[in-house]
Amino acid sequence: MTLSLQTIRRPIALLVYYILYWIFFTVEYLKPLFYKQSRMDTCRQKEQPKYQVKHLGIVRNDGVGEETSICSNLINVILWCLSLGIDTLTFVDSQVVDWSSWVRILCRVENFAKDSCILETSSCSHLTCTVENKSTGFFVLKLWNRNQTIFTLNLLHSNDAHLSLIRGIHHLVRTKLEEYQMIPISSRKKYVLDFLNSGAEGAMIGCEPQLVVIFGNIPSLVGFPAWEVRLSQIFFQPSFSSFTFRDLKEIVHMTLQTPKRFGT
Amino acid sequence: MYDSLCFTDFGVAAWISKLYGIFISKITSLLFFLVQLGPIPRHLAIIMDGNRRWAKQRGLAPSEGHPWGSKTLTNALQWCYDSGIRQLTLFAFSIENYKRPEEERQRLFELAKEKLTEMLDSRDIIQRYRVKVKLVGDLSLLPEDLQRLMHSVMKETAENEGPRLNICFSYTARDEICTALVHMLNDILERKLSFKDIDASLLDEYIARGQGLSKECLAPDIILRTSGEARLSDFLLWQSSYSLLYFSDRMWPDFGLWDFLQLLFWYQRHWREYQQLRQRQEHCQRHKEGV
Repeated sequence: MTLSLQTIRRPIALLVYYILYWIFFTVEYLKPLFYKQSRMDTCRQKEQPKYQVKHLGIVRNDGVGEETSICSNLINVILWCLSLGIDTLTFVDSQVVDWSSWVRILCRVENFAKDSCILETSSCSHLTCTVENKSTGFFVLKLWNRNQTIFTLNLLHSNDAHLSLIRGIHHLVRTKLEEYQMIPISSRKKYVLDFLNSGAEGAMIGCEPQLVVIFGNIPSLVGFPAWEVRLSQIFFQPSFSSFTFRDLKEIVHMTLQTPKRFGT
Repeated sequence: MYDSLCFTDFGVAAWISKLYGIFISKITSLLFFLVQLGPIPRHLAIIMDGNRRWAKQRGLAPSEGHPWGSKTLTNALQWCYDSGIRQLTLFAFSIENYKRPEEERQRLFELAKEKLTEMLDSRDIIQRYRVKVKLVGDLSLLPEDLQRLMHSVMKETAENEGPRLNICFSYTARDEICTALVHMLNDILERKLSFKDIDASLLDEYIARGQGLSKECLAPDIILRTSGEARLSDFLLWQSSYSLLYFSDRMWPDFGLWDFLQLLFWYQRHWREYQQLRQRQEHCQRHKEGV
């Protein structure tokens, strides 16, 4: 059988391609070893941060997991947030279709009373949790202590990247269209911008997270509300189940140390 | 004799330099041929960050970094088109950048004029590859001569059928979305639309219409940002919701062929999982619509 040049070329090309592919893969694989080192160096800086992280965003892309186990991890993250002064968490899971079963687990106040270092034991009896189903599956859980909200948890789907803004627009059209009509044409854009920035009167998540952590092998904001991710610092972590308090602390510290230029 | 020796030396140096150039060109072509054996992104969006910090690191004035960034851009355009990327979107100037000192702004505008004038030259990469150029953003905020030049470039390249180049100038994503929403609300007031028609697909259309693009042109496969900053900074917020995010530690003027190839191989590594995620997301969407 005679071999044509074309027949020889393609396998050789594929071989060279895979060699290159693995070279670049190895370089990328080794990079985090150096990245983790530089992250630790950053954390040793003694500069006092100028502001505090109040809102954390999480996108979970790390595959299917057992619901109870993920809820347990989420509760731990909430407790860590409380200890770091973060009072809002927006959690987007690319796998979840219906949050109802999650909400039943998360709503149990005794979950948050388990760590007495974070919440004073004496105030646990005053802890309450309220759930609001905004619409089409966007849940907001609020943790209250003596009639004061101490924590807000937003639960969203992967579709909410766009649906969140659409909900805001619907609310604008339903409630503010007459007012909008009265505004001079030159001011209408600013009116819409301010309305959406304020959270569309509760139809959107309301505030922008200072940092967003993406878990999993897919570095994408799948599902995170598009409007609110304008200036959020983005971090990548391999797995939600292996995420620790130390990791969160490092990430928060790095966010605070990063200069915020915003165009200047 | 001395003169003939110098002439010979110069000839040898030029000959070696030419051979080296041919060698590099062949290697580059081979690399691009090989990388196209795997999936290539259709649409790449780039935030070209780090010009000023790059200049400061070398003891130059911050505004001196932008011409070097422009050279990297020329190389990057060539690499993109040689590797088969059909659409490129660049974040060149943000509405927030108007806060910068006047001198730096003017320098940036001058650089933009130079670059746009080059695009009208038939030898420029834009004409060679038959690239269709679109300037996206609130162009009314720019000086008039720059606006005229931008419109000339768009008009000149309107009939080109090659790859697309979208340059976001005087742009922020929120401004883009609000402009589209104002048009949508005006259509609702004029009863051309009803409240029930408003969905993500409709907003896609209005955003695309506002920028003179087609709806299919919107979503990038990858958002690349250089200089180590890991933020979108009000760039393509609506369009990038399902895009892969790649943050390179390199300053933009230092972004080279190796870094570009690294980006492409990185995309190929994540491509399968990314497609699965998109399929799951579409399945969730259909499930919700069914409910």
